[in-house]
Amino acid sequence: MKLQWAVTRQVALNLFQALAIIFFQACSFFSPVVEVNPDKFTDQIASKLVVGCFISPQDSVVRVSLTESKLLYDTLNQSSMVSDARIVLYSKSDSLVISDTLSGYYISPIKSFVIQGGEIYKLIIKTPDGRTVNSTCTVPDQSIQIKKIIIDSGFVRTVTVGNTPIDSTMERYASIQWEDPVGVNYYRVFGELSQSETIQLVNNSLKIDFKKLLFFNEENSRTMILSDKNQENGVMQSADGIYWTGTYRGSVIRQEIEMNLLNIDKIYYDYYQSINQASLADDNPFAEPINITGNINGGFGCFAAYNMSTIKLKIK
Amino acid sequence: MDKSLISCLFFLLSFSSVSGQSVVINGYVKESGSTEPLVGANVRVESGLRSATTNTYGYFVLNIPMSMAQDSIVIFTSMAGYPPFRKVIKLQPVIRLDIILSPMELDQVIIKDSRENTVDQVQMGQIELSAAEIKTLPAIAGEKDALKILQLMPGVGKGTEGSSGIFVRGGGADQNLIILDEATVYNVNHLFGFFSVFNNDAVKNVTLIKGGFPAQYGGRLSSVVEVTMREGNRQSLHGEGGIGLISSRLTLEGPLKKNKSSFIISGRRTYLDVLLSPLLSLASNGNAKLGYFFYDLNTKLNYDIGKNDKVYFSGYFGKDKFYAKLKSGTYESQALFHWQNGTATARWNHLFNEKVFSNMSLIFTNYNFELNLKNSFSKKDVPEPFIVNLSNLSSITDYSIKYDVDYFTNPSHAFRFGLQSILHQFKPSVIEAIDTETGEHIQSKQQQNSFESAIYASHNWFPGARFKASTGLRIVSHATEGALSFRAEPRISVSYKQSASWAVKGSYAIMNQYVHLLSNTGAGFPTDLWVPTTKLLKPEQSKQVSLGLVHNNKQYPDYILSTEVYYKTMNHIVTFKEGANLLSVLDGPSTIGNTDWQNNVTSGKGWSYGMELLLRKRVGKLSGWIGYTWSKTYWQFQEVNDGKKYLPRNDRRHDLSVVAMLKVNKKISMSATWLYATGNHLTIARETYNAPIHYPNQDNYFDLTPYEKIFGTKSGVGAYGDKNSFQAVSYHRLDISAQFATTRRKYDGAWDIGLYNAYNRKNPFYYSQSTKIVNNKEVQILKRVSLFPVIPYVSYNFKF
Repeated sequence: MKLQWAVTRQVALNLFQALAIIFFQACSFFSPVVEVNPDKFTDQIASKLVVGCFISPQDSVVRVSLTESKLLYDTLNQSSMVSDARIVLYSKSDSLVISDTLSGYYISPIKSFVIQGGEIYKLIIKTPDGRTVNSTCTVPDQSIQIKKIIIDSGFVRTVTVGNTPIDSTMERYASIQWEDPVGVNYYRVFGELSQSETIQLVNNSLKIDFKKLLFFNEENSRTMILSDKNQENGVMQSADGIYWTGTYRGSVIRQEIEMNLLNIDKIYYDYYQSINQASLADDNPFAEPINITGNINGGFGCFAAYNMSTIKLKIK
Repeated sequence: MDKSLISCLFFLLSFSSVSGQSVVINGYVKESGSTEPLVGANVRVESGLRSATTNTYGYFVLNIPMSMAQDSIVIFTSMAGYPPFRKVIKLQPVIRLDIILSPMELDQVIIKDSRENTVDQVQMGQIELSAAEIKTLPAIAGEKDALKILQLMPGVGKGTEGSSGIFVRGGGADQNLIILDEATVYNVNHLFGFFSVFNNDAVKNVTLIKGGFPAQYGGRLSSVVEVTMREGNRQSLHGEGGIGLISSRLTLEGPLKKNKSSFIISGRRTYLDVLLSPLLSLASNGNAKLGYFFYDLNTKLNYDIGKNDKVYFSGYFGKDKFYAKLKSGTYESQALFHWQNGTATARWNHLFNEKVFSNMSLIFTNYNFELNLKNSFSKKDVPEPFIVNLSNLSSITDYSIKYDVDYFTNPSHAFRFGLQSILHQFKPSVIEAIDTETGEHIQSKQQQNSFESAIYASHNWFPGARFKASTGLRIVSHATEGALSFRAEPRISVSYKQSASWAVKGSYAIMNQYVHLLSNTGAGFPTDLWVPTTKLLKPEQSKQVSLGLVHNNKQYPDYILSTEVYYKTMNHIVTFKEGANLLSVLDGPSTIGNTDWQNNVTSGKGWSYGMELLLRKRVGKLSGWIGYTWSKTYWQFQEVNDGKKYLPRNDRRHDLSVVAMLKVNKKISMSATWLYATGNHLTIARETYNAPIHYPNQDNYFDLTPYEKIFGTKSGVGAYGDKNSFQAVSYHRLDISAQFATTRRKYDGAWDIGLYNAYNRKNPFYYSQSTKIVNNKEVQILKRVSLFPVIPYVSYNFKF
């Protein structure tokens, strides 16, 4: 059903685009398209740094991605990653320099630096060409314990060649429940399927191990964010994370579901909300344009924090 | 209710007890031949000291003080397009005078119409257009359109290229009360606004009020557009029609009972689908089908029940339909999109006596649109194909009753009072999703009713020949979901005629609006939703003050110059939140519960001020006008643009229109329009970037790239800067046309040829991002896309 909706939506949008194109092309058959003078833009704005950094007491490393935005009339196939920047993460009493391990990717082990709930952290980035951006965030007080994981099964889709079924896929759902503490809280739910299976070839069999992220809505998004704004504290349940298991492709010898509940700060929540809205608006002519919210002073992106708890369920 | 309001209403009505000795002349002004009642004709004593204007039904009452009366008096009647009528009548206390005006012959054009030469005839913030004027002006593809002509008037902005949407004094497209024979028309657009729903063959008169609103009108913040349909010829059967490039139309009119009753029926239809559909089907071996058409039908019947009673029945129905079908193997997709308007009005005019005229109306109006998407696919050994079907319906229906009374008390006082009640039935979204393969069936229905009632009273006071004052009060109640509210709308309009050449006018009005239009395209798309006032969403309110000056130079008596300045505030206006997704239903059934429109909207404030100039000449061989507007509009919403003020899309600093109509001789007339407008304010991404996405356990996912394993996948997004911070280039265009009349034995014909956008200005329709290769590198660019280049047109119109 969910895949069918994705297909229906895409076909519908394609049809409308086709209608719009035919209509407007018919109207503007002889009407030229004019390229807008770049002066209109380039003298008004400069490229900005784009920062991604999400910290947690449960992490052993701090990662920062640093790129820059592309202006109109910039070359697209040129890398947007920014290297050789000085990045420092400050706590109330300590600091951690995050070294440049790959161009634009900055990773440092936490070691003695402490990330803990309720504390404020500051990130300062300086690039070799003199640009500076900074941001602060507060780590949520506590990780929220997951009460239980719920597995359900759904629709079976079978692929046949002639009258012979060659593959059958079962849609399965995983969700979690937890106790929502007093106050306004924001969450992200994240899940993965870890599986080992053997596939019988002509002369031997092949063992495959893989991990797949669970899908959380029609857009195949791997994110699931929610807030308790519309409910009093009590038991909350996530939406279904979807995964598929094949029955004819091979034999499953190990299967495990891991679900993570991230207690996230408001910055993280707003950032993801706007990204989700932007992705829906992207190919929808009936949607309003939206700027991605962020908290990087002088740049784009997000410096946010979370406190995570995990539950695992071995299915096989 | 506020005691002071009741006292005020009582005070206004108490004037009715005031009476004076006077002569009362009353009657109807009609066109000769067809006996069509004429709206807005001026009837006056020749000295000009007392005058009256015919109402929507052609009725007038002229009260003359006994002090002015002698044995006889000269009555002078005038109206643009008709030679003046002069009659000497012997005085009696009450005189019934029905006046017949003959349409002006072509060789009579040099006769001056003195109606326009008196500065006190110009109404504050009011513009009138006759069907004849609309027919003369050039139009795209030859389709004459009243709303597009109104766009050429000062204070009235147009939307995107070709659109018939109007934006009056900084207001939104939904802030215009557009009424067709008393019935509200909720969506005036055919073909995304390239045509309006008003078929000019069925239209008698169009009046636009943008300030100084009389108390009988309410329910919208910015303007009233009153469209009156013709009643049909009462003498003999006639017809007219036209054959154009895109559509054709036909009108029939005639008596049902001679001099007592008549009918008119007028229809039109586009035929692009009929021409293109077979070609597309042929090209795709029958696998693709695509089309669009619209049609509309206007009808009206009227009947005189004796001398003092008349009944009218009028109706409109119009429909637009887009459809597309694609077939590939066992898979078939269909999309259907249609929207329709329907109105019906029954009216009863009753003359209690020569001084009291009343009208009762029963009105029905409905607008709805439906989007239907259907995918079907077949499987072997399964006889019936599986179907995934998604439909989304939205509608608004009104049932209303209205009663108006005109009481022409004495030469110094006239009253109008009445009441109106409307039951609004809103269905902003009715969604149904079906999947026959899984048996899933989801339904979601949002429905709300509201009840809007108003009583009003207004008083026109003529203390002398120089001063006029019109005061009014409208009290509106609104009930919905158990919430009841009352609001008072005071109105005042004054004018002082300093001399025959100069007049000063001023007005103040408060307006409330209880229905809101959610629109994020700005192009008059049918997907725009009408929604009610709720507990969360307060009624919109505007307060407008305007001041005007009218000048008629003695040396150039055919020209009249009027200027107005205005300041308007708008409160609780509604717009979409950033990122709001109107058709989020397209994202699948799991989002259906989240499609409540209230989650997508926010309310805020607006300010608009400006200056308008109009130099108009309605008589002579060469007629037309020059209209100029300087204006500035701001909007502010807490949840849009970080709460900062911004310029809405249709804020325009400068707007200029030059319109000229030339009657060359009996057979040839020509016209031209040139317009200029400052560019629209748009929200366009000036830079793009990959928004970092976070994953807590980035280790070894099957389908992530090495970069994503460490930092998560990235989402390419645009940075738009401040709302509407990009300004499109200015819009200007010249249209020219010529009409050549031909006379046949059985009918009269006229060729209408013209050029739309004569010098092929590449006006912006929309902007889009694109890429191009420069020195083997891909570069991101912005393109301006125009819609209409120079377009020649020809149409043939006939009349019999």
